[in-house]
Amino acid sequence: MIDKSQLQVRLKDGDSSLSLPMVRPALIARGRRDAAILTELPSPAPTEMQSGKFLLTNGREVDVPPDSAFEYLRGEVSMFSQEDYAEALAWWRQAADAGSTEAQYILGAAYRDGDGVPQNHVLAYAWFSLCASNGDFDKYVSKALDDVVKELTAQQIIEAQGLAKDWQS
Amino acid sequence: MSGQITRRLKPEEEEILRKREELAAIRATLAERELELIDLRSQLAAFEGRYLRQVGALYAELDEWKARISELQARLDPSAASMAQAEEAREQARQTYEDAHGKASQTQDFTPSPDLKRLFREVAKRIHPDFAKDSADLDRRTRFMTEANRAYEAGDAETLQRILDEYQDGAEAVEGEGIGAELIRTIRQISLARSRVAAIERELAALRQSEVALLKKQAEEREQQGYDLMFELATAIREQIESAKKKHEALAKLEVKPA
Repeated sequence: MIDKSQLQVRLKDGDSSLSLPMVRPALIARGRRDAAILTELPSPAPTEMQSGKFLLTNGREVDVPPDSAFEYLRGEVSMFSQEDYAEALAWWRQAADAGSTEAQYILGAAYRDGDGVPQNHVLAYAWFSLCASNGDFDKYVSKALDDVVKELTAQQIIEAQGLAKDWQS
Repeated sequence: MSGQITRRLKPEEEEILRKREELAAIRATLAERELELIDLRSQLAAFEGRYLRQVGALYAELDEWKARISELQARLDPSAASMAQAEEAREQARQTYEDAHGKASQTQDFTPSPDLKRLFREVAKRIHPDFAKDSADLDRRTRFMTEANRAYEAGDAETLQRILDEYQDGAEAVEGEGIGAELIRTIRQISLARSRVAAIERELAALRQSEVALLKKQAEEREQQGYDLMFELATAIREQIESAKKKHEALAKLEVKPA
């Protein structure tokens, strides 16, 4: 006499010897999502930087001078809508070091306002004057410099100008 | 008197013949479905193995960089939120690594030869545990069937042949068994086999809807368009890894505050 329930248990035992898909489905589902994005969208066009106000996830707006087309930043702009300010700032810093005047401007504003970095008017002034020395965005920078200089002592202004000079060389 | 006996036995004999035929037919169907199931499972496992090696390993690398970035951020901004985020990212990286480099990633591609398929079909038809006549026979059949499954997946035709040779099918007739008992046994076997076929069909349907099967389908559709989806995915993730590395580098610079 065959006990059916016993039989089913036995069959399950037998089945376990088969190589079943064992991975948690999350890693497979991830590939499916990415594959859908890959195959449904045409190859992503490089994101053009928008001029004017740039809205960050923390709700703050950053001035981005018009015609900002710094090659390095283009591909990374999409990150700013998703990531927090400090992360975004890391990119601007890299771009600023590489000579991007708009990035230098944004870093100046970040140090001025204490966004993502400790507030530091000396560094703000230094970044703004570095940006100004490149001759771009005069009307943005001159106003920014005027604002920041009010916060500085004469000694600090000299210090900041020295920094800007060092960075430029 | 003898006429009465003949009349009483004849319908049973006819019935047992019909049931034997029915049993033979369902045995063939069951063997076919078992083959279909083991093939689908093996194909999915092989595809999964390839996916894990070509794509999963890169996801693991990407998640590692993401975890490092989160940890750096937590050092730059040691708030409870960013610490929690860093821990979460580290755990995600660990899990992805485990999944991508686990046992499943070692499954190799599987292409059974027609001969191997024929042998397996024959084994399933003759040795399937659903046709056991008693519990000792069930034990034996289950053992043989498990071995056959393994042999099939390993592409081992020799073992399949040996299983077929070794197993003496004693289920067709049981000594001392009356026709009534055989009829009951046969009906029971048919019923068991039918429910097993139904169970296999449910399992096949579930497997076809699994994430792996759907991803495999995506890859096949992409292949028809002339693309290699695994390669495309790998390329996209490599780009993300590069981007994450740069981000990590930039953050590492920020960690050292400017003078």
